[in-house]
Amino acid sequence: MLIETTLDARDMAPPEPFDRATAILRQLQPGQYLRMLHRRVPYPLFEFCRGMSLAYRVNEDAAANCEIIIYFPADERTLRQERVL
Amino acid sequence: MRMKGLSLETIPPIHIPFRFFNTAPWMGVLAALVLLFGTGQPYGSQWSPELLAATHLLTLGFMAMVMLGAMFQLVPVISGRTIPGGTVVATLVHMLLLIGVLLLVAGFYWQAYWLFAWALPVLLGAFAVFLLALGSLLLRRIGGGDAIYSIRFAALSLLITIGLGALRSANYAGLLEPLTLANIANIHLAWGLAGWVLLLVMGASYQVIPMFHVTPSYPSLLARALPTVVLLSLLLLTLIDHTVVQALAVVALCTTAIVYAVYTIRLLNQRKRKIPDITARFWRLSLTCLMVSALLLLGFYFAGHLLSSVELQQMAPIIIGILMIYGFAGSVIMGMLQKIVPFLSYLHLQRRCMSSFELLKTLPHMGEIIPESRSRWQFRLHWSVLLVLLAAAITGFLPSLRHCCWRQILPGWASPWPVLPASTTVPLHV
Repeated sequence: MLIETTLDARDMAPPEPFDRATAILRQLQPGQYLRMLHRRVPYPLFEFCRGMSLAYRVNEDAAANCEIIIYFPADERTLRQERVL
Repeated sequence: MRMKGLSLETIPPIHIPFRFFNTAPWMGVLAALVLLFGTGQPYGSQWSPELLAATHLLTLGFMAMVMLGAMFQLVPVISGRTIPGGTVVATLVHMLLLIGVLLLVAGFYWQAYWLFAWALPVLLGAFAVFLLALGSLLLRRIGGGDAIYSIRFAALSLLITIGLGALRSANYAGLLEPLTLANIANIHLAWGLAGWVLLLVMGASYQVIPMFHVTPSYPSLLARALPTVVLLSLLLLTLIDHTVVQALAVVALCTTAIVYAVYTIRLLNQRKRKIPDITARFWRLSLTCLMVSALLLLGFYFAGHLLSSVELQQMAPIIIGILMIYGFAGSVIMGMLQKIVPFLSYLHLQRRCMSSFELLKTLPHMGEIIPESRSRWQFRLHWSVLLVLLAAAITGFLPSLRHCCWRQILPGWASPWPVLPASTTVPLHV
């Protein structure tokens, strides 16, 4: 069972979502993942993820809200089994 | 302008936008020096050599410098293509703009109008290189959207402003016969301030107010109607020399500016989380200046003849100019830099640290790059400068007050400098 950290950044003004997300990602351990809710795709964050060798998945709903799952590539299979991805 | 498809891979090196951003505040400092050490009566008339020099230092040296630097940053990111020969083009545009502004300002200040014969081709060269390198990319690669709708009108206004300015300069330099369009300087001013500046700020705000401040979006109908009315009003003012038409155009222009300002302040009041935000304060100050300018222009246009004193009649356009250039455009630019500079600095540092997890973890938070206390001080200095500028214009005939005011203005203009990332911070992380 993977441990989820949720960050709802939909009402946050920049750069707070970025700062809060990177603060969480710096502490992230294998077996943990971040579920971030945002009102747009946070492109600059993906570069940070690549630097940290983290994988990410973006799901955009009809209301243009985004759910971003950021995880360790080794956990991908488990995340699929748990239907997170 | 949709943010989807943003391409951060094509982001240019940080020295490209920052060379423009780092030069701009010094143009403001120079404007302060011009007014401080000017020998004449800078506020005696809107056409005084010192005021013309200072105005062009602020509009071309500060405003255009920042705007072009920002475009060098923005266009590759939204178009997904690098600028061919980016560094060379940016260096050329930056140098030409800087040299052109200094020549133009020297021409105004010393009334050495022959210098315009040099300033003109250099400045035209700067804008031509910029447009050739970026303009076609911008037009071809960016779709519709309310922001781009207004920005295209702004670009058109810029071309008209440059064209009218070039004609006027050529006339000054004796390269052209006196122009038939007697009011060309006022039309140049109208296209520059109400066209280029107002339309560009409008276009930018459609994108950045909802994005940076988490507010509802502008209704599309309003977002398109406002710039359309501005453009049509300017065309009427320029082309139809009829009293009633001109009056209607002035009313339409001022009403549009007021509606835009009121609506934007209303949006800012609808921020989802009302935490202190310096950029929002810069916006409010800017929009207040826009409203006051529009009301003053209406009053001056329709009741100016009732003013008994010639000095008062000469003062009104100067007050409107200060409110529009320093109060409206200056506030927006300084407010936006509070957001843009930390973002670019962070992105640059992040790239430098990509090779190592450990380095990446030591990066400062984006919000720490410009400490909030420093931003607050800059805002305080900024509105103090605005107040003393207005006081200096109103009491422009008192040399002692004038000198006192400009002593305060100098540190205010130098203040954009320390908002750039502290040099002590950067090497720690690269």
